[in-house]
Amino acid sequence: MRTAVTRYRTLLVVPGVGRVFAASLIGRLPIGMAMLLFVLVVHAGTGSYAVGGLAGAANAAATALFGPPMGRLADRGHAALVLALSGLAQAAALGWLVIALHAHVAGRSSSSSPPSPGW
Amino acid sequence: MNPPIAAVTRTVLPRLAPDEQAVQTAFALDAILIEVTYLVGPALVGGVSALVDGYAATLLAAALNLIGAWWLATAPAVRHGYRVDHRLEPGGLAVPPVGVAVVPAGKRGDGAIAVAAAPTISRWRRLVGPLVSPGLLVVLAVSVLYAAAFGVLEVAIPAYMNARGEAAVGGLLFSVWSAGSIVGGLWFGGRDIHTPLHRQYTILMVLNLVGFTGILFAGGPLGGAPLTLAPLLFLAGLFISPTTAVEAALVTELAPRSQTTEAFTWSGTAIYLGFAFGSGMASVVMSGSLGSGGALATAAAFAVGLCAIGTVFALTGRRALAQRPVAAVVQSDVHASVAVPER
Repeated sequence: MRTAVTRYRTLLVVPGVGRVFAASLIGRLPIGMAMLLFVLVVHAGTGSYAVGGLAGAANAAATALFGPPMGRLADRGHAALVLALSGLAQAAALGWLVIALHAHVAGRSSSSSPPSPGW
Repeated sequence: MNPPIAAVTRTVLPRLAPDEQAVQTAFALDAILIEVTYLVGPALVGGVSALVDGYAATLLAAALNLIGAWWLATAPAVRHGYRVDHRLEPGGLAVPPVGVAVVPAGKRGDGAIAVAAAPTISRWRRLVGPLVSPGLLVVLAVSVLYAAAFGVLEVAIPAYMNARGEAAVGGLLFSVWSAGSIVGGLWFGGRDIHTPLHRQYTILMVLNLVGFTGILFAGGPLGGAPLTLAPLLFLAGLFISPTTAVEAALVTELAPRSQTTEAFTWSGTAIYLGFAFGSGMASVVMSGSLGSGGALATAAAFAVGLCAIGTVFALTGRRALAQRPVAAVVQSDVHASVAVPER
């Protein structure tokens, strides 16, 4: 038990390690939120669970598809840029989803096509 | 499109860790972090949706995404972590620069360097990047199957509980499963383990197989009551984080050092694909007998089968898993010119 505690301490006292873990936890929370979020929010906006599931699937597919190219760019020395831009893109996509659903709900009585799922 | 936060994290962590043991601890903590996101994430969505609305929860996710990605992007560990590749370290070339093959010390004395001319690396190899490593392909194949096993159960368990009229219990069972994983990860991260990584991987896959079989029994012969399911899910959970941690260590070992992040993004892609396949199969496997324990047992049997194939892959691919990368592949012309100053 004592050695286990020592092990964790040895790692966590290294400068920079705490920040990587903390930033990583914050940045990855949306992944844990995503599926429930898409199902709840898109359902609330469009009345369809299927579209919600589709939005979640589209997000996962985009991550699976664009992950390796982004990883390659990161390996070439652009990790910070890749993180900053993809973080911005994902945040913008989620913001756009809110606006689109809001507009959709507002104008549901008139004929409007369901918003395409954002990633 | 989620930012490659996990891949970058797993690339820089071993470069910060003072020794091999700390690497194991770091990857265990990283695996635990994943469980925490799956515990806290849905709770955040539920809480904010209840207090404000779903749109606020979406905007919160957007904000967390931006803050996390930017905070990591500006971390000194990320800015410096990728420079290591071109630095000479005591004891010879600790890090193979691109375009240069390093023969491990011991085989030819002090770690002699064989310079490979950049043009000899084929366009194909450049294209596939870290996927040239047979060991990495084994890890990816196992990951697809392992993730598919989870995909099946992540749909089957809530569907089954829903059919029983105990939808809320489904969420609780997931928490118990995650709790098992966190406990297992914490234990694993503090252990001294000297078993070779590829053997740890195989052993853990066998233990996962046992865990999934336990879930199968809970759904089948034991009747599928939540109270019998919960402890067996906890037991099965114990092996999840250690498996994730060993997988990360294997990817680090198997991928050329200058392609670690890409290798981790491929591992993420493998998991997404496997999970999608598994959750898609769940409805097919369970159709017709949704409410009965039999439906859960069928889904669990499917998961056991997937995990068994994964175990066989890990076992038959153990030679590839034990290999270390001999040569790194040229990344770009700029780096290649840096890499061959000796000529």
